[in-house]
Amino acid sequence: MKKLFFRLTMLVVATALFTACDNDDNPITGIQLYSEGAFIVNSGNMTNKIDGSLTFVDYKTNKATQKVFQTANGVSLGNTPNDGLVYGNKIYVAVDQENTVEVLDKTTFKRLKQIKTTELLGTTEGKSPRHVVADNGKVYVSTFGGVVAAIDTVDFKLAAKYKVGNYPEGMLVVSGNSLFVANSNYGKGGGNISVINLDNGSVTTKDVKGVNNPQGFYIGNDRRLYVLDWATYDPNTWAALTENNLRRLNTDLSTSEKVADANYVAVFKGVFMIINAPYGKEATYSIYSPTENATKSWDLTDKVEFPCGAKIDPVRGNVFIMSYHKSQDGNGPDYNADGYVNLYKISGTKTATYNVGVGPVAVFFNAGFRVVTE
Amino acid sequence: MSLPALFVCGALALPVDTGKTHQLDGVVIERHRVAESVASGNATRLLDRESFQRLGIADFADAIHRLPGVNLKDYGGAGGMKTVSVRGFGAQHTGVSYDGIMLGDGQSGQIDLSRYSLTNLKDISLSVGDGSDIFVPARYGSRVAMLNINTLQLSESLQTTALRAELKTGSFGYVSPFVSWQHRFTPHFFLSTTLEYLHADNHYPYTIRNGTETVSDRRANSRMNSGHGEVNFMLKTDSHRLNGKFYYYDNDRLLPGIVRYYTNLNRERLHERNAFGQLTYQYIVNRLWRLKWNAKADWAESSYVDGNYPDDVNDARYRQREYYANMCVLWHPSAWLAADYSVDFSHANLNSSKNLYGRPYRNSWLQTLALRYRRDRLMAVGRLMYSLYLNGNKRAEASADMKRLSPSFSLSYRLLPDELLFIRLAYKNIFRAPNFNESYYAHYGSRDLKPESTDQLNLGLTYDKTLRHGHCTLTLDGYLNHVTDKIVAIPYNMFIWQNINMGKVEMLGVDATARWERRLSKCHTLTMAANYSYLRAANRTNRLSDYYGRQIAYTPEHSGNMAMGWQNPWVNVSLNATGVSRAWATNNHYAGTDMKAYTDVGATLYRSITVGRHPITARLDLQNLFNTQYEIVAHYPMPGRRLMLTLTWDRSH
Repeated sequence: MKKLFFRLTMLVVATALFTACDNDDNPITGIQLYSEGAFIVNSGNMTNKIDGSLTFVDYKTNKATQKVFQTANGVSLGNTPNDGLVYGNKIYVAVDQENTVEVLDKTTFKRLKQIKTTELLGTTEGKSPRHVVADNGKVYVSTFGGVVAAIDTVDFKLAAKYKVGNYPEGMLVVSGNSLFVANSNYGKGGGNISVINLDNGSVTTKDVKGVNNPQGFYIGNDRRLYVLDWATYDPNTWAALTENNLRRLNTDLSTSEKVADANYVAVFKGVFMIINAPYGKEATYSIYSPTENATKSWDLTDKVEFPCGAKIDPVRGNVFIMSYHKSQDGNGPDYNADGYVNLYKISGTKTATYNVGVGPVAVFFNAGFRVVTE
Repeated sequence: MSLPALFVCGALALPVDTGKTHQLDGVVIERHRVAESVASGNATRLLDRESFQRLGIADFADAIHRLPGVNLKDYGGAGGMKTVSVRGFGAQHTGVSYDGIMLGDGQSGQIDLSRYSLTNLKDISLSVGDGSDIFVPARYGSRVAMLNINTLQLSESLQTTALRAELKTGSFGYVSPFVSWQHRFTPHFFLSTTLEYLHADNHYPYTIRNGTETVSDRRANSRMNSGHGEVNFMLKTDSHRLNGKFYYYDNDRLLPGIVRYYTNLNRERLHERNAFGQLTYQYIVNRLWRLKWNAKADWAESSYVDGNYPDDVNDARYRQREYYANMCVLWHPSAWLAADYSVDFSHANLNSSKNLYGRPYRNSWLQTLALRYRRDRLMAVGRLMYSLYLNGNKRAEASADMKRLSPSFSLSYRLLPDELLFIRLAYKNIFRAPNFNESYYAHYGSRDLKPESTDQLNLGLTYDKTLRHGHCTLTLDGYLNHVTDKIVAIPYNMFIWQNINMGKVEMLGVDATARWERRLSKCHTLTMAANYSYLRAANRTNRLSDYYGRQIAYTPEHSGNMAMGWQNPWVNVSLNATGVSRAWATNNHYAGTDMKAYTDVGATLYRSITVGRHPITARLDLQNLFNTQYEIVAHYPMPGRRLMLTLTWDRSH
């Protein structure tokens, strides 16, 4: 998915046809770029009986609709959905605790298929699907069983299975044939990076200096690869051993260098919006442009209370920052109440707030390109 | 059957026997004819072995439902953790004693009652606030309420050897054999051993709602094997008595986890072991003075394996130890006055293979001074407790030390000279020091947690009446409780809880109990028991909060139980029903997090036959007769209709 966004943004930059992306339907020599809305994956709170859900923010009506999956299908997404994407005419949502990937029609939200990952991959390797990306007619799913499954988007069968490192999380397709996988090792330290060669199926897993708990990859406007690396903790004292930061990987994946303190990053046209939210402290926001090698403060007009992720619409440049509400009976976030997203322009001006479900965890967009046959 | 002292009325008529103190504590003896639940200044309730039969109490969890004001948190099935909270206080406020010495659990502060069966129990009693028995360890006063579990005592009338064997078998692969052996070696020395084993598959069916659909499945990964053995001895002369116990428990269980809609794959496993030895020595010095010493050494290990996650990332082993010593001195200068000084010391520590901040320990000094005055129709008990908790940590920072003075009193007044009609009033102020998990558990623990403070005020009326063909007992209590700096435990999973300092809670409640017995003819007796509780436990943390005043999580407003038994020459029958109103899984009552109201109806049939010279009792319990599907803990469905057959062979005489 990230690859798709990257490709789209590159398209935007390269063609220079879209200096303004405000219109939904700009015909370009038979190909139409569009972005019609955003989906927010809400993980819920399983132990307190709050199911996960999917929220849809419709750009046309400027409205957020809650529980679109349950409304369309009558049943729940289940416990702890973790990630999702739109690919072609379908939505894919990975539901960690249910060991499922739900495939929906992107306009009706009707379930087309429920893929049980433990049936697809076996009970050990199929446990806890975490993230999804798509490329070239396949959806790639990482699982805590230490594999990445390539699922055919037509018959939903297992096209290939790749053994990667421990506890893989986010992935990114780079240059069309390499799938980068962030092996978090469950935050214990010693996480590493697997690169799957999609042409021949070989997997290379590399320990990268400075990378301990990788979560996901991004491509900067310097065309270099960046990794979000979360902190690791001492198993006894629970003191942080490494920090939450954004790191630039060197090209042979031997080492990395820290770019900024970061809990969450979102990228637009190769420029990073960075949220640093140390536990118990107020979050800070910054912008980092690799080509300028400069970090500046990102002044948001109205900040969220407890940021828990961010994503930028690759076509429109809308910045979505997810947040918990502050607990009404304490000072921390409320894990049992609905969260919200704030929408900002790249400039930092807030344009909207939408309610979402409990525990927002991922944003993905109904965006892409389609062939116009006029 | 014809014991008048029992009032024919079994449970309620017996005085609460907390540890083996009563024979020595002559003060109580004169009261034997009046049940403790009626005469005491605080709210108490006792269920004895007789009631287990007559009222069809099928298992330990069922017994808890027969106590008023008590909320059982039950994860379902034989292997599901069960903890008990009283009148809206968290489970950590309920102390549990086993044969006179309180069980410690420094790690979580709550006792999992799933390990106890009724097989070898003499009685269970619940005492809210401080009771009128003052010759007890200081620790008894350190909790809001005490649940006392007493095993069958070594019988002093025993001539030589007694043997008892029991076999239980039931639905979902439940098998539990039990054997006990007692022997009197000399007129002064008794020894007994018990052995108990339990296997249960627990693969019971359940249904849950998933939107418009219903999911039917069976619990999986829930098999348990547990064993428990004890050796008890007693050495006794006229003025000395020494009791000792060695206890071992081992439970290896798979945990089924939270039910989900589309998978039932789970690979958690918990292996718990516990060994302790305890000694109680009592000495009647003279007419004025009595002494009691208790000592205990306790070791417990729990080993958690989470096979859902590769590389053992969640696996952890916890070991805790506790060394405990106590002394009670009773001074009894006259029939109307008694005073007790008790001092308790304990050292508890915890270490873990992971997830624990350092290696914490706690030295606790608890002292109580209690006075009891009883004259004419008035009984008054006052108690002052001084607690000192010295916290340490061998490898890291420790919580601050805590000390406090806590008062309590209770009054009981017999309103009419010719009727057993009492009014009672009790007040207790006590606090709970955070347990090791709350202070030191990775992520969730906080060294800055303040102790949770509680106040309880109880006002009650009790009435006891012997009728021409029977007997009845009624109690009615209203209470007002207050908790500040409440530490609320939210389940992270069955084994690990997340602790939040929620602030303030105010509880207002009513507990009512009734027991009535009527002899219809020489061979036919009807017994009825009922209890009802109303509990409003309101969040009073923040006046500006939308959630202000809402009922706190896992606290139903209404709960009750009704049981009826008919003893007859053919097959004794009893029927019982438990009803619990809606509760919430969340403090904010988030939509969809309500736990539905339920009723659970059970029936019991039993009879004894004599084979040779010894009786065999056969008992059949049908639980959840109407196969009601309900949950007490969110996403942990309770088992539906099930059967249990118990055969007991007794060679006591």
